[in-house]
Amino acid sequence: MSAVSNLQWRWAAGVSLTFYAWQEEPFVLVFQPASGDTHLLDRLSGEVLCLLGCQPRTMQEVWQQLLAQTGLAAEELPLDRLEKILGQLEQLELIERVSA
Amino acid sequence: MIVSECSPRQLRSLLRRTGLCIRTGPFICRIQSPLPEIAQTLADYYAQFPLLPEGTFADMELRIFAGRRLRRWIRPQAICQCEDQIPFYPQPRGLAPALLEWGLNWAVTNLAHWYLMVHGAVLERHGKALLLSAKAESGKSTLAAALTLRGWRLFSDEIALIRLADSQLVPLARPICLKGPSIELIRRQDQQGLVGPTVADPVRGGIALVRPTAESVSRMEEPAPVGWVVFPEFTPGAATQWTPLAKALAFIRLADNSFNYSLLGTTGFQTLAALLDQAQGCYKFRYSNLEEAIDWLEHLAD
Repeated sequence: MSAVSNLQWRWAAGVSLTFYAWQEEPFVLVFQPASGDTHLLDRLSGEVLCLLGCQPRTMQEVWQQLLAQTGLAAEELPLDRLEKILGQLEQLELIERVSA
Repeated sequence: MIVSECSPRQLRSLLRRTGLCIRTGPFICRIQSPLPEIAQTLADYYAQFPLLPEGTFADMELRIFAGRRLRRWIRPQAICQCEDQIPFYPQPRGLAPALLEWGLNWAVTNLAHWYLMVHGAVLERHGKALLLSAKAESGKSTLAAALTLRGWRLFSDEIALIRLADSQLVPLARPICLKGPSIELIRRQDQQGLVGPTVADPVRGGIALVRPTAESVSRMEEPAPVGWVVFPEFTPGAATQWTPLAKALAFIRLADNSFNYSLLGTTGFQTLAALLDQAQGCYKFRYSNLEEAIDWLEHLAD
């Protein structure tokens, strides 16, 4: 198995997050108390972030879990889209990579 | 006891000596000033406000005094001091009444962190509050004054005070501060004599205070849940135009317009989310015609 596939993602060290969303809206608000930042995310990014709060996961595991949860087909949620989301969440310092 | 029960002489004496303690919404403010125009302002614009005994503990202390040395006589100035700070540059003496309002606003936004505070005007009708949130120069005071003249209950033209426990909006009921061309626009509609005289101000094109209605003052202990959140934008020549806004987007705008959202941390986040839970609708609102704007806002509330 390659090093990349062994790579796991988790919430960044010391991060605790509060989520809020209105049912009929395509957004999720995420508050990060340590920085005082409020982030406006799309639903899918919010779902990814939520999944990583439960336990560290590889991108593959996140993808499988998302497909199961949302009922989307694999071609509707390509892996490179997930990769982009993970990159954006990492840039926001909400998640970090760890070796499995 | 209310302010109007004090004679002008008593008012001046209290202001000079120990200070005058009045209650505006949930706050007790002690005002000290040797300036006769401050006594006159309190008599004219705060006549119905509760007056508290000397020595009452005050949430905020404000002093308005004359400029020092030559500034007493040459282009006289007035200076505002809140607690131990002087938050503004000295202003022309004629602006002392406006300085009182700016000083009280400054004191509230800098001291009252047991509320979430958002830059905005708030008015109530039929038990629901309208929050008009915007930064300066977007016309929120003009809209607040016009709605007050149409019988809406005024909470504030500048600070939306949000109670942390239940996210209800809390009234301040203080005078509205109008600037520039909006003064004459509102004065033309004023049949109750609520708009005071215009004071020259070359920077802002004149300033006039608008008295809150007796109902706004007598009910200033009654909060209200938010009904509508509107982000007004006065754009000269623009057609009246409103666009519904997702609550999450309204949240980001309100947080951006807040004085102390970041300071309150998770509590601020939860309070703002709970406020928007109560809202029936959020809108971006562009206008240039005041009549049309007021008609639309009234239609929203009916």
